[in-house]
Amino acid sequence: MYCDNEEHRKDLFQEILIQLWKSYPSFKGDSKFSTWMYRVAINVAIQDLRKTKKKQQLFFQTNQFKDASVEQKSEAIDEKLKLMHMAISGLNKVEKAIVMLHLEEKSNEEIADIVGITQNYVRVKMNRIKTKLSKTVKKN
Amino acid sequence: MELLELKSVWDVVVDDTISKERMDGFVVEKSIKKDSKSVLAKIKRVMYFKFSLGSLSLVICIVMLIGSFVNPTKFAFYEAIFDVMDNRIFLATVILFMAAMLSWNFKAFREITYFETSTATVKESLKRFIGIMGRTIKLNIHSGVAFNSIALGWVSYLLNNRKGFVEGTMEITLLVLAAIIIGAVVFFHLSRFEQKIKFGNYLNQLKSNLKDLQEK
Repeated sequence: MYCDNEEHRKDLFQEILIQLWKSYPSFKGDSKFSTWMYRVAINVAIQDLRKTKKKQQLFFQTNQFKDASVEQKSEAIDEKLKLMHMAISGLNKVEKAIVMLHLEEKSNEEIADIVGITQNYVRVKMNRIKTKLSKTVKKN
Repeated sequence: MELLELKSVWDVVVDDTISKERMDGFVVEKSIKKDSKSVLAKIKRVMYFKFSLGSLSLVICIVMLIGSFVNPTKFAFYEAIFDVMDNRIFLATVILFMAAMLSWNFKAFREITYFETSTATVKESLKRFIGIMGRTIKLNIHSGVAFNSIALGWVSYLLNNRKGFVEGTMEITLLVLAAIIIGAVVFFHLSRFEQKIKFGNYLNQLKSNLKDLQEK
């Protein structure tokens, strides 16, 4: 979601691991472990310096699933994947985080706790994201 | 694309990633031990370098300053231009500058380390991160300006003292002051431009992300 190629994805994953390790002592158990983990991961992804190149992103992500077992998946899913990445690439880093948490089936309360906004604002953001997603898909 | 549809595709992606990417403890341990490539980690590495170089220069200057009192002839340098008093003033300037730089760098270093080991919400973390980046950039600009203009002032003094282009304490003082002021203005703009090229877009992007999280 945040990366433009495989190398960047691996680097970001490693950064998240390092950051989780460094900040683990600060986990006091006040929130759920998963909430803490998402916070760290999203903070690293948002603060990542590398820019995402949209063209490269599409190239990578549409080719990512052409190997092994995924190749056998129906063309319909493949098409939807392209569409999903196209739609997501139109979102900014914060919107990507919110939509990702939503797709991970986190409740509005948890999303609010991770991002640091009110539940009401999560709902507002989700509505805006939905509109933005459908606009991007229609445009393409 | 509706969110439900997006969710079904997302599940496919997640299942695929999970099935392909199982990591054992050894790989995780190896990853954790590698050097971080984050912006803050890079800034900290530069700070380590500044600490080493600054501390070494500080120790050498302190030894030389003490030496200039204990044995002035042995610890004099650049005798043709610097007399003993010049030498002491020069060393004192460097010591003060280095001590100030080291303490400011140490403060910034501590702030970064504390930030790295804490876990705040995305909004709070962004706010603090932007603050730290802003202060670090300011520190880089100001320390660069101070170092370069002081150095230019001393070069101007060296060039004009005794065998220089002008004679007389007043003229030399004015030339040194002019060199310091011109140096400060030029280096300030150069340094600000350099930092803008390095972090300008990045900071603007972070600020726009933070703005996106401000409820209206």
